[in-house]
This record gives sequence, C-alpha cells and structure tokens, in this order.
Amino acid sequence: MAGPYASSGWSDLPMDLLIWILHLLELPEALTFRAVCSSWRSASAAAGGVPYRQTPWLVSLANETLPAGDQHPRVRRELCDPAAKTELRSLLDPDRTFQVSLPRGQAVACCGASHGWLIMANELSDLVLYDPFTATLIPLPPITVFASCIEGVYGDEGKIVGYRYGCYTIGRVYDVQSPGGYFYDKVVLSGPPSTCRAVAVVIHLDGKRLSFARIGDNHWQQVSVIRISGDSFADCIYHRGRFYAVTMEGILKSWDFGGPDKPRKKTVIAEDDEDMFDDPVITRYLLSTPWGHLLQVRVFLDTLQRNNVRIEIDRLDLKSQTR
Amino acid sequence: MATREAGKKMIMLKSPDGMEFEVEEAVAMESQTIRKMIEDDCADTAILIPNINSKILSRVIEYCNKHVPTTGATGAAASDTVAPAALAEDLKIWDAEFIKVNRATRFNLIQAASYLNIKGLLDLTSQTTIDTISDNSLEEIRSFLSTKNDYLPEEEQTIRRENQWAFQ
Repeated sequence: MAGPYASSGWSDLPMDLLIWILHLLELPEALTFRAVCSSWRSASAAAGGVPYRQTPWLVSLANETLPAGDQHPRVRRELCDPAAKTELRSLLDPDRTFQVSLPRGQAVACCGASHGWLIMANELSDLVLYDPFTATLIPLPPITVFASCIEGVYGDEGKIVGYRYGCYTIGRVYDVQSPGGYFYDKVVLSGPPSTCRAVAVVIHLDGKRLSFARIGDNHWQQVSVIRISGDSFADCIYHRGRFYAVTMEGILKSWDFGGPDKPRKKTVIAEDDEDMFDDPVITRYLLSTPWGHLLQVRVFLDTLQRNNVRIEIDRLDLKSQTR
Repeated sequence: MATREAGKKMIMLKSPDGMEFEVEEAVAMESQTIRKMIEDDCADTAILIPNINSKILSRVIEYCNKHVPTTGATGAAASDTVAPAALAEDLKIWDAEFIKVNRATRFNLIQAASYLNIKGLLDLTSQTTIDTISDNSLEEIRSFLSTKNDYLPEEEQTIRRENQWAFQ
C-alpha cells in the first residue's frame, strides 16, 4: 500500500467523510458512532450532534407485566406515576424498543412533539420542552400567564397551591397538577428551541383559544379565540414559515410570527366545508409534507365502513383561497 | 495523453506508484473531481491521482466502467434487450460482489470514493460501514475497524451514561 492513506486507521478518516457517514445513520447508531473514539466524536460535534436523517419515533408508556391471577386485567399507569416506564420505538424497527426515563415531576401529560422535542405539562401544570436523547429541559411561560384563563391560588408562604379558572365564574380551586392534563390540547414549535426566535403555539381551553410565546418569553399572547359555540380548533402545525390552524368545521387560518410586531394573520379558508349530505367530520389533522405541500386529513363517521371511520386526505391550495 | 480511439475520447489516469490507466472519458467522468478537471481543461495530459495507489485505482475504474450510463452504439444493444429494472438488479448484485473485499481495501475505497467524488461508490462503501455500526456492539465496532479506544476510563463512563438507552 502506498500513499498517506495506507495506515488504514478508521479513526483517521477525513472529517467530511465521517460527517457524510454520520448523516446516513439512524439515531441509536449515530450515538454509538460518537462513542467509538475521540475523532469520531469530534466529527459528531462538528455535524451538530444530532443526525439529519430522522425517521419518526414513537413515545409510549411501557407495557406492565402483571402478576398472575391479578383481578384487574389492565393496570394503566399514568404518565405522572413515578413508577411509569416510557419506551422509545423507531418506526423503522418497531420491535426494538429503548427505555427512557422522563425527568421526575416534569412529565404529567404529553401535549405535543416538535423537531425532536417533547412538549410536556409538569407537576405545576406549566409547559416544558424536553429532549429525551440529551435530557435537556427548557421551561415555557407558566400556565398563570395565559390571558385571563387561569389564576394561581397561593398558600401562606406564597407558594402556588392550586388554580382557579379566571374566565369562568365558578370559583372552584383545582390542585396544581390537574389543569396540565386537560387545559392544553396541542402544542407545536416552529423549530428546535436553539433556533433564533423559535415560537411555541398552543391550542388550549377546549380548543377555543390559540396562544403563542417565543422561547425565553415570560408570557403567552393570545392570537385567536373561537366564539361560535359548535366550533373549536382541531389541529395546528408549522409549515413553511407560518403556523396553520384548522377548526373542526374546516376554517383554516394562518399566522406569521416572524416579525417584531403583532403576528400577521391570514384567513386561508373562510367558509366551513360542511355538507349536509356528507358524513359528519369527527376530527381533522394538518400535515406538512417534506416536499412542501400542506395536507388536510379528515376523519369522517361512516357507518358503512367496518370500523365506522373513513379518512380523506386533501391537498390544500394555499394560494387561490387567500383572502 | 488524451487520445481518440474508435470515436471515443480517452483519458489517461496515473497513480502515484507510476501505473497508467487509459479510460474512456465518460467512464472517468463518473468522478465529479475528474469531470471538473476535464471541464476546466486541466486534463490535456495524464491526470495524476494522488493518494490512490494502482490497486485501488484499478478497482475504482472497474466500478466506474460498470456504472457508466450505457449510451451510444455499444450501450444500445444492452439496453434494448434488457429491461431497466433487471439491469438495476444486475448492478446491485454486481455491487454486492464488488464490495466483498478486506477491511483495508474497503477503507481505501471509501477514501478514494470521497476524494474522487463518485456518489454511487461513496454510497456503497459508506453503507458497509453503516451496516458494521448498526449490527455490532461498541466493542465489536472498535475491534472490527481497528480503531483505538482513546478515551480515558472516566470519559468512557460519561459517554456511556449520556446515552445509556442507546447502548442497551
């Protein structure tokens, strides 16, 4: 063998080549990669640490093996139970699971997942961002700073002991952990929290309200309220620089939080798409495709189907219907 | 020297150990690095390929010969009679055989593919490395790639702790 490469030391591979290989790896392999030796580790650091190729991962509560003869066939531990175990599962290899532990007191309810971050409500019902791979935890503004929704009830030492809904007249006090489970409907991020001015958008209060905060802000700003009694927000996503939210009746609005001023709103679909001859819509989802389309998934109640459900997917034309 | 033979432009590639390889320009241009040299008119005389010895260079040329798109008089016969899918399948089998080489050769091939910028060969050689990483434990990878574990014991411990779940 001639030439400077004859040594055949895999740890001496050029940095760009190592980064090339790293980008082809799935997450567990990428983590092994950076543990091999220090030069591979520095390549991993140079590549930004996390591989680009990201197939979706599912997070779920691990199945519990029950003692034989148990009277309760299914013991379901809540996420907030300290004994609950969480599993990660790659969609590429669904039989292989990895056990992860969520930080104690921070995972009472899961409200969303964006750009590799889990968005969870903690034991004070405040939202936190959590990266299960690096165990990084980032708080979002607390639940008490949503516009006129929830007030804290304070004990003698100034500590929060409960919450009261400010927007309803009934003065019932809930324990600190309870709103976390149902106050938030969905949280979505514009990008990983490390990106400049990353924005979190929340559908909350029974799908009636939409609020946003930038990472590092200390308050939530309300952007939209639905006052029609039968309608509520069904889904919200981030797509090509804007947030889109669709209501149960099919009205689609979008917001741009990029500028320093008030968010700019655009109504993409102003009319509901209800058709009295069609089956009722159970729910809707929005999807952003890697090739740049925005899709709407409609789930219909259809008694002619075996499971009573029919799913239709449409591509939304964002230009022609802009008002 | 760039010469003409049966209507095809030929290119001379030279390895640092003095061997010369005459290849069709189209074959040599499978390498983006060489393509750039030819397009920039830097390829009038023989092109010296530094860092890649004659044994590896001949394998790389063999790869490019097989993968050059079949156009023109010689290629037409093949693509007329064989379906594209069958051709791709045949190529895949050929690739699998081609990469059955020892570790040192594979290591040299991956570097050659990187230097010469041959996308297909880079994919092929990288994939074998990826398979090695996917299918083996950390210790096995280290021993297979003959990489030295240059971490101190405490560093090693920290690394393992960081992403314990991935090493289960």
